[in-house]
Amino acid sequence: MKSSNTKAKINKKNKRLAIILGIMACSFYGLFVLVFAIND
Amino acid sequence: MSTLAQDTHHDHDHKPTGLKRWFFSTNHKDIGTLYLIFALTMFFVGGGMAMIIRAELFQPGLQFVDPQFYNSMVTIHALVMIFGAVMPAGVGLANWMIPLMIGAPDMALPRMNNMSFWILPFAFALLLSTIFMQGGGPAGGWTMYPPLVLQTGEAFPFLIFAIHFLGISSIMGAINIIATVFNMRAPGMSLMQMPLFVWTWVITSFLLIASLPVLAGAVTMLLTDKYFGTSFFNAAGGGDPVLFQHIFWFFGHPEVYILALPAFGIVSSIIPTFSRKPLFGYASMVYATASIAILSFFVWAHHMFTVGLPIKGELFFMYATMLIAVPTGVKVFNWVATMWKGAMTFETPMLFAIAFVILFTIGGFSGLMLGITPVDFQYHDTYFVVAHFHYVLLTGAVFALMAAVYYWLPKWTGYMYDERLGKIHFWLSTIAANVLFFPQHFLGLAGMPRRIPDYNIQFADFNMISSIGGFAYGLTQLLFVYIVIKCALGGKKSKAKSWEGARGLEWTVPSPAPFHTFETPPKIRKEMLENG
Repeated sequence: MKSSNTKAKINKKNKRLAIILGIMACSFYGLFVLVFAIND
Repeated sequence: MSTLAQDTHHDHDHKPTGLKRWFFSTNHKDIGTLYLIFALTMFFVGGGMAMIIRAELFQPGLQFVDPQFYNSMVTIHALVMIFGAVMPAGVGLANWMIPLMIGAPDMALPRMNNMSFWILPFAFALLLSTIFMQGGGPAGGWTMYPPLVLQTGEAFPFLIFAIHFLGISSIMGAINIIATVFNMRAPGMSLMQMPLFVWTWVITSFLLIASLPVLAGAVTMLLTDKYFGTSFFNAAGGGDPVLFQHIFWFFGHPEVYILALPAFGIVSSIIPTFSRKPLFGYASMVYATASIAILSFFVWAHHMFTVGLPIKGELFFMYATMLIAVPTGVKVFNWVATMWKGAMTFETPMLFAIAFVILFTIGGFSGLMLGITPVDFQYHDTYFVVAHFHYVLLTGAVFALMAAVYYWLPKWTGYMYDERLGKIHFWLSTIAANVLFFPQHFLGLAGMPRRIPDYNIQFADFNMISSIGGFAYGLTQLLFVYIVIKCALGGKKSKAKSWEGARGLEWTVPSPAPFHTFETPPKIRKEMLENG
């Protein structure tokens, strides 16, 4: 990366995207179990 | 080596040494290598199980193993090959090649990358240890249908937790790939300029994130049904065992494309290189890949036509399944059109890629047959299904992975592999795989059920032929290991651009690729791009 500033910015963007995608995955899991648990 | 490469890859190619290098690595190339070695090891573990299965089926009657052990071999063979061999091999290639193809210095989240890999050996230690437990390993098939799977002994929680770990590992890998592609591309490289291999991995990663949590949810419910008194799938408690099949295949069908899409990407890189022409219909290939991925979430019940679905449901899933043939056809025609009037040469990667196109299409057609509801009623749970998915996964996905290894091996090792041995490996593999799986179509059509250690005498001849093909295929893969090791140790030096017709950023860095690449983002010129 050109400067440490750019690097830090990209790192922040990466972490933010990872958290969003992680929450998406967890919610798919949670939703499925929850929906069927309520149904049960 | 290009001027750009010299500018970008200056000589501070320092790297850690010893065990520390491998255990704590955050380098995408090292982690890619670890994934590939792990996948090859698991390919032989799963392959060993396949040899036991084929030995038992060599003749009618019980020869070597008892039925319980046979069924656990069938179950664990599938789990090892899917989650331990094909998926990690694909992730290994993604790790190695995606940063090189998009001009990134590494993966976006290198420490998570390390963790994604190192979860795998522990998960498989859990799974494989079950073979030695009281009551044996899981034997209800990789689909884990209740109530059968709930009869598993001490192995059950190990199976469930192994699957959770494998899921976590794959999801972390998928997140990493998406973040890398979206945030780390070299300036000037738009999404529609990326190699198709990168595109297929982005789409596969979304499939992983959307489908694996569903599998995790399903197996958690199995766990609570067995140990915590719930009745999700227990009819006696008001649950429904068929519900599990719906949830499982909602994951299971996208999983098929998780294995197949990266193979499409590999072939889309190799065919243009050895045809010396750009890929025909690049944009349509991207859209076709995305269409296949989306459609894969609407066809799950074609795996369960015989459970007694309403007729409207059966019709919907039949037509939705037929629909997948359209984007898949687009891809196959585009590969053929790329080769059309190209200055083709037939090095080992190209041979495997062409075999992939032909044999995967055979597997696709038998899949189409299975997707027709009334026909599926005849074929369901027979060897026809086994033949179908092995054409898709072995002569499809595994052949593409072999093609990829031969294609990029010079970039990884700095040496060209032995072309003569590579070709021998290709021809022996192709003949053996067809001798192994083609007769299984006939066995299925004649009514031989899958997942049985013994069979009627009328199936004896085709089973014997199939087993001979199986042993030949297994032995041939030892030659592959020899070729790879020989290439890693030395041979004819490879240039930065190992193949005359190759295009793309990965061919602008020296061979072997230095430990650190693209620390300064490359200046993208159109002629450097695979699809520029």
